[in-house]
Amino acid sequence: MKFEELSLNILDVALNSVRAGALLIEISVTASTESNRLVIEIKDNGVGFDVNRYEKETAERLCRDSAQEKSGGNGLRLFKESAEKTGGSFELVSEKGSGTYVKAEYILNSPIRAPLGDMAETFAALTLCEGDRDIVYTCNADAKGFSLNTAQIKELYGDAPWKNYEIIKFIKEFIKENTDNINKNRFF
Amino acid sequence: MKTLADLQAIKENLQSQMDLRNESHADTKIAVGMATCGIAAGARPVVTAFSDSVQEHKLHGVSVTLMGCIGLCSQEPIAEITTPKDGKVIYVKMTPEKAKRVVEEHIIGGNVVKEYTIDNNK
Repeated sequence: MKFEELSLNILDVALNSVRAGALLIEISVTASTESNRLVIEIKDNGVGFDVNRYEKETAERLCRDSAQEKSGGNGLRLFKESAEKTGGSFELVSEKGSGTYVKAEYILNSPIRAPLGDMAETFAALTLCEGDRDIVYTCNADAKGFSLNTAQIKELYGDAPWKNYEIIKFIKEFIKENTDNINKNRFF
Repeated sequence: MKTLADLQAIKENLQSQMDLRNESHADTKIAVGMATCGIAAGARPVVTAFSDSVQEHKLHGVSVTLMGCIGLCSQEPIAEITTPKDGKVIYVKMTPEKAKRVVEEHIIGGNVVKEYTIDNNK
């Protein structure tokens, strides 16, 4: 089992944050030609977990089908492998009660690095999760960047429900257009 | 290019449409399996297809949400459709094309698409 796009790894790991009861999930993607790195960070304020036991626990929680367990079923491990195979690195910091931080660092121009892929669809899928939380997405490539925070949308909507399809459509177009604007097919 | 200022216009436009909403599908729910196994099998474009199709047909009351692994990873992507008429129906090995058909035939038409259900794919 593997993911064709890094945006699918991001969705997978961010959904762990949702399940951990996080009220804030911060996702950042930073590309730098100078350091030749693509860095993906996902930080949440969820319940956290004991890193030493995570392999066993996440395997059980994420995937209960025994046949699939043998071929994978562990999203964090897939994320780690996607970075390390390019010559990059992976960092996981989590503590019970204080949230989780995951950082995957890729060699930007590695021919075996998966493309970032569709972050608009990943963000949109995250907004469809039940419950209320804020999601912040920040994307930077050299000197250019943009950010989207669901708190900004909620502030405008006040008490009115904001998770409607017009907003999700806006979110997708916003991320797609801003990504294309800073990327120009050079980074991701 | 889209900016956050566009959100205000969307909000005003939505408020003016409120009265025109069709809430007859308020008890209808679409849940797509989005654990690691589901994502790897292609669940994200399936969610997008459900979401787009619900929007296209203006089924404002229908909720689209994500769910975890139900222990049938080899059958992913899986979608659970709950309607007042048929209760919970589990569709397996979903694709964006199948999702569109399920919205049109099951949710709008009221006929379960039997060839995609778990009972017919064991």
